Amino acid sequence: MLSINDHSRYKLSDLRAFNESLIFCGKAIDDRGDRLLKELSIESSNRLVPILFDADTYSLSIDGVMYASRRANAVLTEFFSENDGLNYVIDSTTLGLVELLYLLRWFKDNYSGSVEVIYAEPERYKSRINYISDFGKHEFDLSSHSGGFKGVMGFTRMFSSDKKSCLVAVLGFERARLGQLLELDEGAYIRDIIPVFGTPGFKVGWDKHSFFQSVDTLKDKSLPPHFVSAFSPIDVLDRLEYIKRSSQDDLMLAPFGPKPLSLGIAVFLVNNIGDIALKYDHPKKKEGRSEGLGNIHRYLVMSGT
Amino acid sequence: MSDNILDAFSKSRAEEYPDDLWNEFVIPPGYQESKCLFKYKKAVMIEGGRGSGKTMFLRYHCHKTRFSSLRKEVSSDELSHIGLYFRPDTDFCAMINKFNFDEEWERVFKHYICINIIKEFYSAIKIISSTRFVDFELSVNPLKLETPKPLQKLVEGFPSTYKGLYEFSEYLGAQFSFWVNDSDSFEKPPFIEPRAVINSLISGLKDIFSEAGDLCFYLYFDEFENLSHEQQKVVNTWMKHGQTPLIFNAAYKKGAKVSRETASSERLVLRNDYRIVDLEDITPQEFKLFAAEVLCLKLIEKTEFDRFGEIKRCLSDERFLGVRSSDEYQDAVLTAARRFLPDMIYKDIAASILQTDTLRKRIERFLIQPSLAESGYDVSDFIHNDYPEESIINGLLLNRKNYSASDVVEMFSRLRNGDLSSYKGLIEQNLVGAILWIYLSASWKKCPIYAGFERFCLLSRGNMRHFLELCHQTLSVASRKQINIRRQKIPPMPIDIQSEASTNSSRLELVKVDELGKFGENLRFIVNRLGLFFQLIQKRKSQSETEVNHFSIKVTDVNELDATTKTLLEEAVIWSVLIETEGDTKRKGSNDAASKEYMLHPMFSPHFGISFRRKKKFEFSEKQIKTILSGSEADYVELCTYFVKKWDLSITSTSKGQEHVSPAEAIQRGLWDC
Repeated sequence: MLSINDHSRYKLSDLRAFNESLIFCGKAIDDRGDRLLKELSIESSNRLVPILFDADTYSLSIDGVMYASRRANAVLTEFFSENDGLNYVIDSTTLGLVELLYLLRWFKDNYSGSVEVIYAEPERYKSRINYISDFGKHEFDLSSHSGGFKGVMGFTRMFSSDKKSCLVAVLGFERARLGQLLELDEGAYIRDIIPVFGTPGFKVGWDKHSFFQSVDTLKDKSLPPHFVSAFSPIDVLDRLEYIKRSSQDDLMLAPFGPKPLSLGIAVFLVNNIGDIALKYDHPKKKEGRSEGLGNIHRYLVMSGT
Repeated sequence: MSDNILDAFSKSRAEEYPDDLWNEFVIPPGYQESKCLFKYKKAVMIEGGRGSGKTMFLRYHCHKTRFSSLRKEVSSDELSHIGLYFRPDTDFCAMINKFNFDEEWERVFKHYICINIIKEFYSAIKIISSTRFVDFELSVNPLKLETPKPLQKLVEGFPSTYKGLYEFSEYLGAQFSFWVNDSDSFEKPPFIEPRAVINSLISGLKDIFSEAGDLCFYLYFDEFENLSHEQQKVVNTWMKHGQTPLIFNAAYKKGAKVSRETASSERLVLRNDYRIVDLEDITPQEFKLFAAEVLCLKLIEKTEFDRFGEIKRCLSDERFLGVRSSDEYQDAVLTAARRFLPDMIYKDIAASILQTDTLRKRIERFLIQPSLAESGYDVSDFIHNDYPEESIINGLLLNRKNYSASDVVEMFSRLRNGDLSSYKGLIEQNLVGAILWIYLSASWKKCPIYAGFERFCLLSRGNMRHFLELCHQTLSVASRKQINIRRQKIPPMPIDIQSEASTNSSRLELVKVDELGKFGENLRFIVNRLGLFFQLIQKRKSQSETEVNHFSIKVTDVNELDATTKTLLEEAVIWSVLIETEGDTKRKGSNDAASKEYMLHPMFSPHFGISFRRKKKFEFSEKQIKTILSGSEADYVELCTYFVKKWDLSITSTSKGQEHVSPAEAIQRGLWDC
C-alpha cells in the first residue's frame, strides 16, 4: 500500500539541498518547470531522469530509452537495479499522470520507504481570449487538443453497459475534458457523476473558475459535489477512500484537476488496481501554459507501510 | 406546468431510453423503401450525423424491442432477424493494439468482442424463451438446452446449458480484465474466436426452432468509427464473409473516415459486400412530418392529446406505415404540431416592427435618415404603416449605391398608387435579411423569425436531437413564465417564448461544441469566428449580400489547403458543426474542397442573429479560411477589420465600456456605434 504522510512547503532555494538524488521528471513546458528543473540540476550529484509516456504508441521513454509501456514494471526494476542506493524524488510539476502511475506502482510493488514528491504552483495560468464565450475570463489556454480517451494498461477495467458505473471527476480549469468524456460515453457506461472540486484553490477565487467551467456540463447529471483542498493529495485520497467505501457502484476516476489532486488519485489507483478504472484523455499540453512560479509543495509518499 | 411534460422532451439521447423502444420509437420516413434493416441479407453500414438517431434506430432492430413484452403480436418471422447490439468501450479498445500486445493483439481484440457477444446472445435467447409467438410455440425452453458438446470440450469452463452463458461471459470478462491489467500476476486466458462460438451456439438451437424457419442473428456494432482502423479491418473481414445465420453490421457518424479494408487484399465493396443506410437521407418535407410525429408522441405521453391517443401504437409498428402515409393522418399530425408551435409570417413580423417604437427607430434613424443627407426628403416619405414590408425594404435600398432617394420615393409612390410590381422580387430576396438587421442592430434576442414549428425544423436541419432540444427549451421558458400545460389542455406556445427558446438552445449548442471530439475546443473557436463573420456581413445596411451563412474556399485543388485546415474542416463536418454540400459542379475537382460548400449548422443561427436559410455564400481565400480556422486572434481581427473597411461599416473600438473586451469583440460591438 502507498500512503501520503506529510505535506510541507519549500522555497526554491531549498531544492538545492537535494543531493545524490534520482529526480524523475517530465519535460518543462512553462516558467515554473524550467526554474524547478534548473534548480534541481545545480547539485551535480543529483540526476534528472526524464520519463515520458506517448499515448499514440503506448511507449514509455525512461532516461531517453524507449520501451513498450506494458513492460513498465520490468523496465523500472531493471533501471532501479542499476541505480540503487540513492534518494528518490518525483517532480510532479513536469511529470505526466501516466508516468506518475507507473512510477508509483513500481514503488508500491518493489520498494519500502519514502519517496519525496514536489509540485510547484504557477503564479498564473494563461487566459484564453474568447470574446463571445459565456465563460469569459474563466477560460484558460492550457491544452492544444485532447489525445483522446485511451485506457492505460494496468489501470483500466472492462465495463459492461448492463451495469453502469459512477464517474468520480476531479475537476479543474478545462471544462471540455469532462464534456468530451460524457459526449463520448453518451450514457453507455456512466450512470452517475460525482464531481470533486479543489476548494480552496491555489489562490483566492481560483476555485470559482472550476465551478463556472463545469456547471453547465454537470447540470441535471451530477450527484452532490465533494470538496478537497486543491493542493492536498492527502485530502483527495481520504475523500476517494470515503467515496469507495460508501458506493455500491463500480467506480471510474477522471483526473482533470490540478496535479496535487492527480497525485492523490494516482496513489488511490495504485492501491486499487483492478477495482477502479482510470478515464484519461492524454491532453496535449501547450508550451507556456502558465506564467511565474508560486508555492512549492513537498509531499512524502510512503511505500510498504 | 407539470414537470412531466418537460421530462418527456428532455430525453434526447438513446441511452436515456430503455433498451425496449416499442412505443417509444417513431419509424423514420423512407423505412420501407430503404431503411428497414430486415430487408438485407448481407452487411449494412448505418450512417448518420451526431443526433440523427443511429443508436435508437439500431436498438429498434434489436431483440429487446423486437421481442418486447409490449407487443401484442410477435410473429415467428422475427426469428429470421434477431438483432444483437454491441457498442465497444472505445477507451478500453484503444488499448488493444500491437504496441501493447504485439502480433497477438488481433486475437485479444476478437476475444474481447466474443465476451460481449456471448452476453448479448444470451440476452436474446432469454427474451425469446419468454416470448409468446402468434404462429409458433416453443417445445422446449432454449435456455435449458445443452450447449454443443465440442464447445464444452474445447473451451475450458464452457457452460453445459444456454442458461449458463451469462455467468460464463461474466467470468470471461473478469478473467480478461485482470490479465489485461496485470499480466505478471494473472495467466493469459485462452482466446476465443467469436464467429466459431456463436455459429456453433446457433446451430445448437436449430432443432427447436426448425418449424419457425431459419434462425439468423445480426450483430450491430455501434460507434464503429471509434475503433482503430486495424480493429475496423477485423470487423470488416467478418462483414465480408458474413452470411446466415450470423451477419455483422456497423453504424458510424456520417463523414467519419472508416476503413473498408479487410484482413486480405480485398476491400469491402459496396453492393457486393454491404449496403449503406443513410439516416439523413430524408427530405425537409419528410423531416417535418417525422418531427411532428415525434412531437405528438411526446405530448401524448404526458397529456390527453386531442384525438391522438390512438396513434401511439402506430408509430413503432411497421404494419401501420400505410395509415401514416395517408393525407388525412399527415394533415392531422402537422396541424397539431403547428398549433402547438405557431409561427408569425414575415409580413406580420414586418408590421409588428413598425408598431414597436424601438425597432421602428432602427429603420428611421439608422437606415433611412443617414441616407437622405441633403436630398430634401423626409423620413416619413419612406415609411408607412400600411406597407410595412416595403417600408423596411426602403431602408435597405437607400443604402445601396444603385438606388437614389428619389428612385425609392418614386417606387414607393407607385406602390401606394396601386402598382404592386414596383417591389417585385425585392421583398422575397431581402425581407428576412432586413428583419435580422433590425433585431441585430437593436440587440434584441427574441427575433420571431426563429419561432414556429416549420422554422424549428429548419433550425434542426434533419436532426431530431436539435428539434427535441428546441421543444424542451420552449416548454422550459414557458414553465418559467407560468404558462400552464395541463393534462387536458395544451395551449399554443407564444412566439416570444419560442424565440427566446431558440436563442437559448443555440447558445447551449455552441457551448457544447468543445465537447465534440479531440478538436472540440478548436471547433468552438471556428463556430464563434464563422458566426461572428457572418454576423458582420449581416450588419451591412445595404444587405446587398443577404442571408449569408455558408462558404466555399477559393482553391483549385484540396491539396492547396494545409493539413490543419483540412483536419479541422473534416472534424467540423463529422461533428455536424458544418454541413458539407456539393457546390458548383462546373468547377474542377468535384471530389475536393474546391467544389464543396460548408454551411454553419443552422442551430447556431439564433445565437449570432443570422439567417438559418441557405441563401448566399461567401468565398474565402485559402489564407482567409486558415485564419478563421486556426489563426491567432490578431489575425482574425485583421481579417474582420479588412472587411469592415471594405463594406464601410463604422467601427469605434475604443467605445465606452469596451476597454476590457478583446479587439475582436470590440469590432463586433463597435459596429453599432454609428
